[in-house]
Formats: sequence, C-alpha cells, structure tokens
Amino acid sequence: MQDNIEQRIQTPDFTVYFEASKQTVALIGSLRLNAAPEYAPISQLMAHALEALVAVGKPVLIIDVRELKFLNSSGINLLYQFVLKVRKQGDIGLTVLGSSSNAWQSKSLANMTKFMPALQLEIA
Amino acid sequence: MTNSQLDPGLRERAVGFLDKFGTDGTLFENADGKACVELIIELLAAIDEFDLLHTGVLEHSTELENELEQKNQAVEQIAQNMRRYLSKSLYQRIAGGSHSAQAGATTRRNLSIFFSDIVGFTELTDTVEPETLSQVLNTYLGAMTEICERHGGTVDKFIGDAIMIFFGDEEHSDPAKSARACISMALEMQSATGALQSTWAKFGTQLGLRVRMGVNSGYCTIGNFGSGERVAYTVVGGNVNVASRLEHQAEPGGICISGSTFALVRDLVDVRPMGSLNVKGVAHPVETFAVVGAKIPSESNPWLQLNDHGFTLRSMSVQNKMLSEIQRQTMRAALVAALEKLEDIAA
Repeated sequence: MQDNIEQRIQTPDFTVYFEASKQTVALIGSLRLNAAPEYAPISQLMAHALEALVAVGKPVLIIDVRELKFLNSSGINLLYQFVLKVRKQGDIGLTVLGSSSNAWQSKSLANMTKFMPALQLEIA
Repeated sequence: MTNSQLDPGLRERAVGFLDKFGTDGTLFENADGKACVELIIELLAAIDEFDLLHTGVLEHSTELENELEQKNQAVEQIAQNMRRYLSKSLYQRIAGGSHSAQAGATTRRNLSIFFSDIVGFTELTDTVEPETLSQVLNTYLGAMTEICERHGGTVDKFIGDAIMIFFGDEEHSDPAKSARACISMALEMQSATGALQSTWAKFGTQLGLRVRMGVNSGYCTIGNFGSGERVAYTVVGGNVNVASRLEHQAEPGGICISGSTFALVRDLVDVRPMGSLNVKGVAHPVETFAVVGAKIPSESNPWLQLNDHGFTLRSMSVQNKMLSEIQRQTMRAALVAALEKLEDIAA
C-alpha cells in the first residue's frame, strides 16, 4: 500500500493536494490561473493521483471542491477533461464533493455527469 | 447542458455515411475503406466530446460573468450610497484608487478653512418639533453644501448646524486661489440665507436665519486621523482653531476673516478691521477683519455675473429686518455696478 503518497501545490490564492489515504484530491481557495499551461502542474498532480490509486486497486477517486470558492473557465475545462479521462480509462470510479455555498458549483458540477454518467456527485 | 453548438446537418451526413457503409466498414472491400470508416467513428466521438466540453465551459463562464455583473451592480450601489456620506473630492479620490485609508497618512497643506454656525440654533432645537427641525436643518445644509461644491470646497464635517469646510487639499493647489474660492463661497452662502428666510419661516420657526462665518488661511495637517478600524479624513492644526474662533467672533450674518486670508482676497472684498485676537495654542495675536461686502467688479459677488456680452443680475428678495449688513452691501454693490453697466451701454 502506498497510503503515504501526498502531493501539494500551494500559493497565496489556492491549495491543491492529493491525500492517498483518503483517495482524495482537494482543491481549495480561488483558482484563476491563465490558460492551460499554467494549469499543467495541477493537471499532472491529478493524473498522478489517478495512476497511484489505480495501481493499488482502489475503487474510487474523490475530488473535493467544497472549499473551492472560485474556478475560472480554464479551470473548469481542466476538471471536465479529467472526468473524461477517468471515464475513458474505465477502471476507477469518481466521486465529486461540492458545496451549495459556492454559487458556481450547483450547475457546473452537475454538468460533470454528462461527461461521466456513473460519476457520484455530492453537493452539501 | 444546452443543445450542441455543432451544425446538425454535418453530423447527419456523417451518420448517413456510416449507415450506408456499415459501422464496421464491412461494405468496403479494401483496408483503406475500413480505416476510413473507423476514423469517421473516432472523429465523431471526439467531436461529441469537444462539443460537450465547449458547452460545459461556456455555461460555466456565462454563469461567472453574470455573477460578476451582479456583483458590479451591488458595488455600484454601495458607491452611490457612499458618495452621499463623503465630500465630492474625497469620494473621487477613493473611487479613483489614489486615496489611502490608512490612519496616519497625513500631509501639510496651505489651506483656507471655513466655519459657520446658525445664530440661536440651540434655542431652536428646544422649541420646535424634531421633524420640523430636521427639515429646516436639511434644507439649510443641502443648500450650503451645493454652494460649497460649486466653489470646489470639501465639506469636512457637519456638527449639528455648524459646517466645517476646507479649500486647497488637492496637490499643487494655489493658496490664493483657495482663499478666493472660499470667500466667494462664503459671500454666496450669506446671500443664499436671505433666500432661505422664507422657507425657514414656512416651517413655523420664529427665529430668523442668521449665520456667523469665519475664514482663516495657512498651513494645516490634512489626512486620515483615527484608529486602524475607523478613520476620518480631516484637517487639524492651530490654523483650524483660528478659523473656528473667527466664526465665533463674527457678527450675526457676518463673515470674519484673518489677516492671512485678507492678504489673499484684498481685491475681492471690502473689510472693516476688528482688532486682534489671541487664540490658545497660536503664538501671535491674529488680526481680524469683518467682511463688509463684495467689491465690484469681482468674481465673488453672487448677485451679479459679468460676461463679455453683458451681465446677469439675480433676482433679489429683501425682508428689511432680516437683511444683514454684508447682504445689504453686497446687493447694493451689485445694483450700482449693474446701473453703471447700463449707463455705459447708453453712452
């Protein structure tokens, strides 16, 4: 088991981390980077999390955006692309945790199920 | 999500093609044909995916944009409300982002400071209904603020019926220009109190509207004073105290100015010396002058505006008892000058 895998990207505006023991990638704060190249490190962290969990046979990856106050268009594109990738890969489930206190989440997270009908969405 | 952005005809043609040649390409006899069908299937899937992404991102960004617009409107509403609590120049500086709200951000400036006070207002507060009082006071303060802003002054604060105004807080402002604007404002305010008498009487107050005014010019410290939580943009210093004392010294309906102000407005007003005044915390006695009236021709007489083509004389309404000396002199000067102008035209 590689439960101690932990990666973190932290700036004054946001934090993104992967906590292997909880099978969770959490995005916190306000993500307003410019275009795809600036999002590449986050994209790589998520890809790594996916690989690591699949490698140890975990059934599901959790994406926690409950504390993500803001996400710009390039950011939602990154999340949608990631959901597509997980669906195509087919060997792991996906759960997304959101919060209704972030106005953008109710609609934009619900749209994720169009990319992956089996995705579990939990908006608290 | 909303409907696809893709031209539906294009997709139909591709699907029709697949129907014709079989989704596995079996109707093609050679390998290239099969590969071609497979490619179309892949492309269609990729296009669908892309279409979904495009629509999803578009919906997300539209929601953000709409929320942004709503927030902008809310901020605009707050700014509109804030504008009413602040002076025009201070509001413009805050809105323009050039003003720091840090306590301790202060600077020394050569300003003209103005104080005014309604004679007998405290007695009035005890004799009239609160609603009447607020109407009377707001009418008066509204009219005075409008005159102040027209002359480019900054209302520092209202203290009950008293008003504190300063001129010259902009960078590179000219002290003489500030003093002249301040005196012109004071003269116009005294004239306006004449016009306000009738409104004042309508509210049922027995007391006539008579205002004392004081003006002093000199270096003051201007800026943010207060705590980390709450600051006021205001002026402090000995010269502010002098202006306040001059106001108390003025006759009802009069304007009392210091020697330093008079030196800057000599050609605008006629004055009568009122002796010197000792002010606590100010080293030297302050020379004081009562403004008798506006000189003509000068830009400071509110009754008469001269221009290249002629002149405009504002309509005057006089209640004998209520007319102060300064009002009488200023009106008289305007009428004499207007008559002279008419004689000149006839000649």
